[in-house]
Amino acid sequence: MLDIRNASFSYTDEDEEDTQHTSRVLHQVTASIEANEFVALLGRNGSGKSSFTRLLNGIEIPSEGTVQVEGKFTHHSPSLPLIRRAVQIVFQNPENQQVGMTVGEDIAFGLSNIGYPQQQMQERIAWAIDLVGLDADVDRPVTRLSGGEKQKLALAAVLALSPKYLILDEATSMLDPLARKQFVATLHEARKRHPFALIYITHHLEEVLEADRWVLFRNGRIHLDGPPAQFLNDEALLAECGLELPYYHALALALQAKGISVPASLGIEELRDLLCRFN
Amino acid sequence: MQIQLSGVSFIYEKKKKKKAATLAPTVLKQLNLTIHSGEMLAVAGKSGSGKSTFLQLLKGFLSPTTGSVLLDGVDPNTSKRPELFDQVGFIFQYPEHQLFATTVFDDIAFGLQSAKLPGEIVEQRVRKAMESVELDYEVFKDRSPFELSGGEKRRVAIAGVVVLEPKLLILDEPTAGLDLPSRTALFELLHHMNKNQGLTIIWVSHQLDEIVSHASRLLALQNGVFIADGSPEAALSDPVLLEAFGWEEPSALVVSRLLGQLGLSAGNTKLSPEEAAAIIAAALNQHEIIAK
Repeated sequence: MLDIRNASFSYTDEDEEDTQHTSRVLHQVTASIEANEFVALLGRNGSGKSSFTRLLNGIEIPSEGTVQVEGKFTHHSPSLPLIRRAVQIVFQNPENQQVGMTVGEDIAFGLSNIGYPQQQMQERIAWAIDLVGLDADVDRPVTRLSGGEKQKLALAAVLALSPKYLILDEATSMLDPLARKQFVATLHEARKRHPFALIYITHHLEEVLEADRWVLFRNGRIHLDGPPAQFLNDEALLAECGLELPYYHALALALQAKGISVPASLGIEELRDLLCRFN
Repeated sequence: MQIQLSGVSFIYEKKKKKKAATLAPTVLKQLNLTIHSGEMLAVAGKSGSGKSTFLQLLKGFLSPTTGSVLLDGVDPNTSKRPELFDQVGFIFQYPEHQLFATTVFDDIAFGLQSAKLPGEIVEQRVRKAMESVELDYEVFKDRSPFELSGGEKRRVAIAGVVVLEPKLLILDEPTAGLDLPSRTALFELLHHMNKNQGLTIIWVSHQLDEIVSHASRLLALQNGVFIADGSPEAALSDPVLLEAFGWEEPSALVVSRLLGQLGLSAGNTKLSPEEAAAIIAAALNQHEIIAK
């Protein structure tokens, strides 16, 4: 479990004594994330969601309050190597995360860092490539991959380390819609075969309709934490936080409001069936 | 600003290795194009399509291997007037990463101060640039750019280019990493500068909804040639283009087409979910009345 208690955090300029210029990015945040849970972190730019994830794997330590990963405090520095192995992050731009010249080297880098046995390395690399369905052999230069493939490689490189918690920080924002869909499908397929908790930051609600919980950040605080259904009818709140309902979802809600019974997971086929029944 | 490209090709040549030069791929192939003053032009192209090279030719960072680029009828390259490229403002991806000064004012004023303009003119132009990106001069001028929100930082970075009073503004993926309200605000700003100052705007986008909502024209590059040049609406019904960019037809269009096929609506491509629900509900009610 990840347990965050009353955590506050601010970026301080060390040269600057003036506390007025200290910007506080998280205020008294309390939340917990269970093993294998799928949690979406939502909110506007600067609302604190990225800073929150940086507390989770000990990149940053809260200035007040605590963060525990599987019972280990992030402020206890001897625990950090274990914590950072348990909690991995994939960022927005795959190119900033690539360290190897080839697919194989890139995945091997993280494994070497954690002292993975050399003789089992190739097998593990192959396992990770297969897990994310990357259609490229180990010798493929990283520069020859498309954007979507690069992001799958970044995913493979962290999944090879068997994290218990995986944070994706707008990991699909540089992909085109088709590549984005494929990446999300890959992710869930990988979770089925090899469960881990998924902590997912996005502005695209259609990617997180299946999440167990949505956690909405506003001005450095958690504004609302609950199942997606709790948010979906509150269009004013969603709009205020820069979130747009997926088209079909909004259509389903609008039809339901008119007394027409349709599933929330309405698609074009269901819509066609509904209308053709009468035509 | 009017831009005219005639027979523009570009090859990255390695000057010393002649053999390599003959093998170097042609990045842009015989492009002909006129961009009129006041256009809002979206450019789409995957990495390797030649899109960045194309934009760099417009700013004079590169010169064409063959053909010519005219700015308002003059070729800055052959007429030895490179200063004409100063009329082109170029805003890189994530421009806020290049903010460096301790105050918003100093950051925006940097280009003018380097040109040794008198203090009062600098102040006047910084004020105007901040107004045009909707940052209140008094509120923001003395603040550190680093404590601003993402959307605000980006506007400071844009003001740093706008202050140089360009006639053409090129932006490389200006909405990358911005949330929906910040994206909406940024486009309001661009439309405003486009209308009020007659600024010609070219921006790179990979998002079909953004292009359809904001561009007067879409230019799509693939392997160094234009595979589309026209109205963004035309792109919506072009399966080749949709496939090339991994775009999906907007749901509004798909639903509106279905309703049209059933004789329920006359193809409004921007049908909102509420409008669609109203049409569907009316059709179902109508049917119930007939059934009774």
